[in-house]
Amino acid sequence: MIKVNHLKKRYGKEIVLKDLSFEVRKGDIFSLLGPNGAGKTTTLECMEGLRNFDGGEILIDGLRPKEALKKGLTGVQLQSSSLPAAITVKDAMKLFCTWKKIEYRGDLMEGLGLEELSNKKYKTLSTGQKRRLHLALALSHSPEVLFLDEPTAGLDVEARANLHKEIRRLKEEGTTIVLASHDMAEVEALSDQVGMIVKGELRQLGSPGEIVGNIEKEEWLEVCWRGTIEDFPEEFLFQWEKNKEAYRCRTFDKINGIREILDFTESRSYELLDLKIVKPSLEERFLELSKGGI
Amino acid sequence: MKSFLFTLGLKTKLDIRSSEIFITYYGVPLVFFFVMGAVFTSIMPEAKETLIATMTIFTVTMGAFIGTPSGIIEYIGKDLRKTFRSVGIPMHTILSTTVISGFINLSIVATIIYFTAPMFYNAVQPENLVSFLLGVALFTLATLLLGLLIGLYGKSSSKVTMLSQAVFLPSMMLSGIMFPSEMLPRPLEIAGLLLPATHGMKILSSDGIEGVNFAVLAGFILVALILIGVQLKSLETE
Repeated sequence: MIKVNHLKKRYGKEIVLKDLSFEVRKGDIFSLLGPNGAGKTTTLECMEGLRNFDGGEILIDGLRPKEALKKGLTGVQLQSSSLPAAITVKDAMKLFCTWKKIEYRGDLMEGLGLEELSNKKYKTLSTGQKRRLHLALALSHSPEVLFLDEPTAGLDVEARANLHKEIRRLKEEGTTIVLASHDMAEVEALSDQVGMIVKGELRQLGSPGEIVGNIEKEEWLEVCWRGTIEDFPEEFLFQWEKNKEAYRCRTFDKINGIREILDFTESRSYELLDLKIVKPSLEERFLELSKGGI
Repeated sequence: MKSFLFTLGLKTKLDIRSSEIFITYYGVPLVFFFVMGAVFTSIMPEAKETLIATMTIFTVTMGAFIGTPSGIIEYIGKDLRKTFRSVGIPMHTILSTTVISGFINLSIVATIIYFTAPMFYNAVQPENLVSFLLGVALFTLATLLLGLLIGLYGKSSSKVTMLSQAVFLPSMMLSGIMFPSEMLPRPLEIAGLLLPATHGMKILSSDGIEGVNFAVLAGFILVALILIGVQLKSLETE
């Protein structure tokens, strides 16, 4: 559905996207994950046809992004969308529908709970209501591909859950969704494919499970002793990290790792409170990548 | 065309809903007209001859130089421009509907002044109506385009306020609406010629056809259109 080949973008002398290549399958939810300033929004805006790029190619169903946008193949919810302060919700929908040359989408207004807000001015809407309105506007022409940039930023738990439900419903209807986020839980819960961008480079690409699985041979042992442990032996197999009250270490051999911990505990007469094997989450993987590791 | 007309209707409605624009297009000009109209005609009975012209010039200058620039800032903000671009609303539609909406709103106030000034203050209506209407139209268009330019190049509220005042205040003092421009020192009289209000005032207060002043206003329009085109290009490629 979407092919991004060797995408390059620079702002002045600063290179912000370095040769990005990936594909998004039809009907998938593809997430671009990365820290602030990684290049997620720039990548998305290039794909949306709202920003020119300096090298490479983007094709959406065989069309360049600007053509896809013009033909109504794509719908866009921007990270920081805005509308005139005095425009009402209903007028905003009418304006968008008029320019998309379609009938007024009352069904969409109702479906997203905007009907009761139809006479409210944009400036009086809450962040969640604004997000819902911009989602409705992006969906007004029933696009095949929907771009969502940080769709749940600033939303409360309930609004966030509702939006996730809506995104899943759209996927069930066959909409291809590309979203940018730095919310790991959101990405892990929604995505079929994830592209991790760090400093303009695509560091990882795959399903959330695959990305976590890339380090499947590596596991974490989480250990908790009573009191403070100050005498970790240097020759220890593990690399220790303090994580709140517990200590975490990374190991490629959990049996030996557990044995070492038990020996160490016994030799020092420490009291072991907890010992468990932890699979690294997408969040931990992400943090590792953003620190420049792997 | 349907999309453009819908956008124009909506923009006109939004302008009236916007308190800032409503005050500068309608509120202040009409209050000024009713209060100062009474004062002018009371202390200077000969002001009745030019009351419609002076009040029309004040209304248009106030709306176009104070209201329009601050109104356009909201629309040229990065987020709103991107949102409109994502739906295919071109920037030139936003700018042209701003000018046309301003033209409609200011024409309504000018019409109120035209018909009520004789009733309330015995003001004299212009003899040459065609020249008067053409003059109002040309002057309004020139002033609105210059107001739009201020908004487009000023970009921020503080800069726009300074630029607006830098054009509005001299327009009031040097154009001849407060006192005849011939009474000004020569350098200031010449400086006044750089303002559309001066030429507008000459056209609206004259019974004849002011060909030179019409040409100067057309010149203002041409220059403003070129500069707006340059800025539009830069906004669209930004």
